[in-house]
Order: sequence, then C-alpha cells, then structure tokens
Amino acid sequence: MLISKLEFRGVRNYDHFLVEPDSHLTILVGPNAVGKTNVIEAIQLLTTNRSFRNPQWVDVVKWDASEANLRMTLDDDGVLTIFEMVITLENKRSYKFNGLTKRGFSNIPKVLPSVVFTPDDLLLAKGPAENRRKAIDDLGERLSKTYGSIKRDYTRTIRQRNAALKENQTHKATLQALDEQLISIGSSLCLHRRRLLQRMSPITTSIYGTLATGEVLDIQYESRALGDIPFTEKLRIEDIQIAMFSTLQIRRNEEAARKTTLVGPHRDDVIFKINGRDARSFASQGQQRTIALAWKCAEVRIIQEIARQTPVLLLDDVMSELDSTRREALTTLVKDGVQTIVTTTNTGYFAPDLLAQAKIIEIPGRG
Amino acid sequence: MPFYAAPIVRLLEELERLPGIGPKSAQRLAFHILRADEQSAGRLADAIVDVKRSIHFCAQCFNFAEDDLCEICSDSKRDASIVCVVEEPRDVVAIERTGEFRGLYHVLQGAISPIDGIGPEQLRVRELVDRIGKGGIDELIVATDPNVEGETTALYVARLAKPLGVRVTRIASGLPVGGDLEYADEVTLGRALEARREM
Ligand SMILES: [Zn+2]
Repeated sequence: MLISKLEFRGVRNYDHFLVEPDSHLTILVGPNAVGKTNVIEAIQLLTTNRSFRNPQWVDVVKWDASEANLRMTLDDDGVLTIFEMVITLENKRSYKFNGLTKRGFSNIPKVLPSVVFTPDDLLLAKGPAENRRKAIDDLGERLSKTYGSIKRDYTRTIRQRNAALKENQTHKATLQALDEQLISIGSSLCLHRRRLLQRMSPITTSIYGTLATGEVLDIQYESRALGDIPFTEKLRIEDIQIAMFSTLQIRRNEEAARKTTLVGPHRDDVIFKINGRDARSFASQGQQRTIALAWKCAEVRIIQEIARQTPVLLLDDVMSELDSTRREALTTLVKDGVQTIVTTTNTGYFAPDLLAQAKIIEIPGRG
Repeated sequence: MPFYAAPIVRLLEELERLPGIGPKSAQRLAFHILRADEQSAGRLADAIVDVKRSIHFCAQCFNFAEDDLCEICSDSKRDASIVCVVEEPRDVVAIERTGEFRGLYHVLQGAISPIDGIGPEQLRVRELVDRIGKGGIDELIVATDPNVEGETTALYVARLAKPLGVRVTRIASGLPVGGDLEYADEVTLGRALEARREM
C-alpha cells in the first residue's frame, strides 16, 4: 500500500499543499523554517492519528483558516481509498473514509502504518528513560489496539493512584482497589512491552552490527519489580503480578512519603549496551545516532513482520545528522521498496543514483 | 462578545453551565428561545421546574423515582435477590432495554475518581452496604463502566460486599474497551450479562 496523493488545506503554514509522492523516494527540499516538517507531521497524523510534536489540535489549523483539512489517497495494488481528517477550531478531529464519516480513528478500515524519524529521536539511547519507554509503547500502539488501550488505561490508573496517594487519609480504601488495578494493568503492560522488545531486540542489534563493525549491541529491559530476571526469559503474567505485588509491599512507606506511584512499568527502562557498556553513560554521539537509526530501521522491519504491511518512512531533516555510512542504511530501505518521504535543506546528502530516481519537490522560502 | 440586555446575559450564563454547551451553542439556544412564542418558552421553563419538584432519588436503589420507591423497586415480580450495581440512572435504562435482567438495581451515582475528588463517601456505597445488611440479597452483579474508574469501583464494591456473604460477579467483556456502558449496543450488553465472571 502506497500514498499516491496528499492534499492539505489550512494546515499549519499552508493554505493549500498538494503532492503526489513517488512510490519510492520523495525529497522535500528547502531552507529551514519553511514548513517542511509540517508536511511530515500531517502525514504522521493521517497514518497514526498522532503528531510527534504533541500539539493542541487547534494549533495544526492555520491561523486564518476555519479548519484544517488533511486528505490522503492510498493505492493498494490499484485499489484507491481516500482518507480525510478535519481538525476544527474547537480542538476536535473528525474522520472520513471514502467519503463516509467514521467515529474515531480506530474505525478506519484501512490504515497505512508509518515510521517517523526526527532529530529528537537521536536522543533515544542517552536521553531520559521516558524517551525509551515512549519509543517501545508508541510502536506497540501502532501495532495493536490492545496495546494501545492497555497503555491508556495504565496511564489513567497511575494518575488516579497518584491523586489517591496525595489524599492518603481519605482514600485509604480506594487505594487498595487501585493497588489491584495497578498490578493488573501494570503487569499486562509490562508483559506486552517485554514481548515486543524481545522481537525488536534481535533485529535492532543485527542492524547495529552491520552499521558499526566490531561493536556488539545488547538490549535489556530494566524493571525494579522484576530485578535480575533475564530480559529474554518468557514470563507469565502471574509471575509479573507477584513481583509487582511484593515490590509494592516493600515500597509502600516510600510511596506514602513521596505521594507518588513508584512501582510499575512507568518507572522501567530499556537499556542499550555497546560491548557491555551502558549507552546511557558511555555512548559516543556517533554510537547514539547508530542506535537510533538501527531502532528506526527495526521498526520498519517489525511492522512488516507483525502487521504484514510496509510502512511509509518519514524522515524529517535527519540526513544532515548522519554520516554517509548511516545514510546508506536508510537508503537501503528505499531500495527495498519502502515508500520514503524526506525533508532536507540539501539534496547533496543523497547519492546521485538515488537522486536520479527520486521525486524532488522544492519548498520555496517565504517572501 | 457583543453587549446584550441583562436578562439575555443571565440566560446565556445559565445555558453555558449545562454540560456540552459552549458559548456558541448557548447563543443559538438563547436566540431560539427569544424567537419562540411565550407559551412554548413557558412550557420549557415549567418542564424544568416540574422535573426538579417531582423527581427525586428512589429510597432503595437511588435511581430516579416519582414516588418514594422507583417503578422497578416497587415491582413485586422482580427478583430482589439479585442486584445490579451501576454508575448512573442512564445505565439502568441501557440494561432495561436488553430485557435480559429481572433483578433490582443499585445506582452508585458515579464512580471512584480521586482525580475529581470522588471517593466512596461521595457515592451511594454506604447505602449499598446497608441494603445488603438487611438481608435477601444473594448476588451483586457489578456493571460499572469498563474503564479505569469503573473497574476501580467494581474492585472496591467487591472487597466490601464479599465479606458480607454475597456472591459478587462482574459483567464480562464484549463491551468496547475503554468505552462507556451507555454506548454499548443492546445485543452486546445482553451477552455481557449472561457471561459474567466471579470477582
Ligand atoms: Zn429503586
């Protein structure tokens, strides 16, 4: 499945933007701050219903427009479908599939998955643990509705439980019920996360190996509740529940004092190790970039494996951050048939043979 | 906002207090009322006052009632040994529509949500315990919404009721994940009632 046409009206800085992307590589080239990233964001919205910028939806609407209209034509082996999203000034999103209104993005019958790579993603290995939790959870949500609903329920449970901990006296009995909820949903999220990471890990480490010869990447899942249980071990949900339950007892006083939930997957981390050394402390800038790149390439592969669909790859201004060997890894995906849309300030980052086949769209500077 | 005469401003303010009504909808409603004849405006005002005067909460189940007991509680053909615990009166309506349930209800009038400062004390939980204490109830079916707050409330109710010797069950999935009971279609809800699980 490919994107054959994109059309935006009243989106960010665009009154009207129309592009018919190439089946392989489309390069949006132009100076900084002309709105190239807005195109990437719009495509991410159409494919995943979310934006890496986490905006208020109304911010996506152009300042003088009455609504933002995003429209995408998908070509699935010659069968065309049209997906349309409207964002209103009331911060609401609505969806149409082949002209029919659909309630909620999850009711759209045909969705093209996407993988987005922005300069912020380069902080995957060394940035805060939250980045790594988000990387695996975002992937899970794109692959499974169950994963998505577990993640939402878990986030909500943590918010409710933290509120109860702040009013400890009045909510003592409520807290017992919320403990059960935390263990039940938390263990489920932990299990799903570990399962997905166990599939991501060999693909990511193998890609890393081809990019950085002589270096071995190892991925682990760090969880206080699970302690030293090896990441590769297949756990039953009951095992995780028991581990969370006993950790919760041990940390009860600490939780009461700090008035916040200290046990659960929202405190876990994904650890990258290069030749046995923890990337959080020791990775060079080059190694960090290679980890991020290997992870993104692995996302493409795992979506192909699990969803049995080739995602569209959206690269926002990352070419300038990567050296030629690493850029080559991305362009290999293009050659393997992954539809790729790239923004850049300079087409010089692309090999001449690739450029010759690409569709190049100039985004002119303002004024 | 342009300047309106004081009575219009007052009406707009009151309308905006209603759930789901923003400034724009309030204006639309206000202008509709202004354009309507005095009789229909009077009927609307009477209906609002009348519903507040005549409808109160059932003394037993806390559903809406015209008399001391609601129609369901005062129906002798219903099975008083099974009580379905729900969040809101609208849930009673949803379950009644399935025609599958012949027991009584208990309306908690909300769900536990510490974020909103709602704990068991703000709900009709104590009244439920009292009701069980009076005897005659064998089973509670907890049909709170299938979301975090509904689940937490269900767990709380189960912890409270089980030591009192009552069987506690939870209506099973089949409901859309994260959705409200209100939106579940009747067939799904009927099936969910059949396939309840022990808590
Ligand atoms: Zn009643």
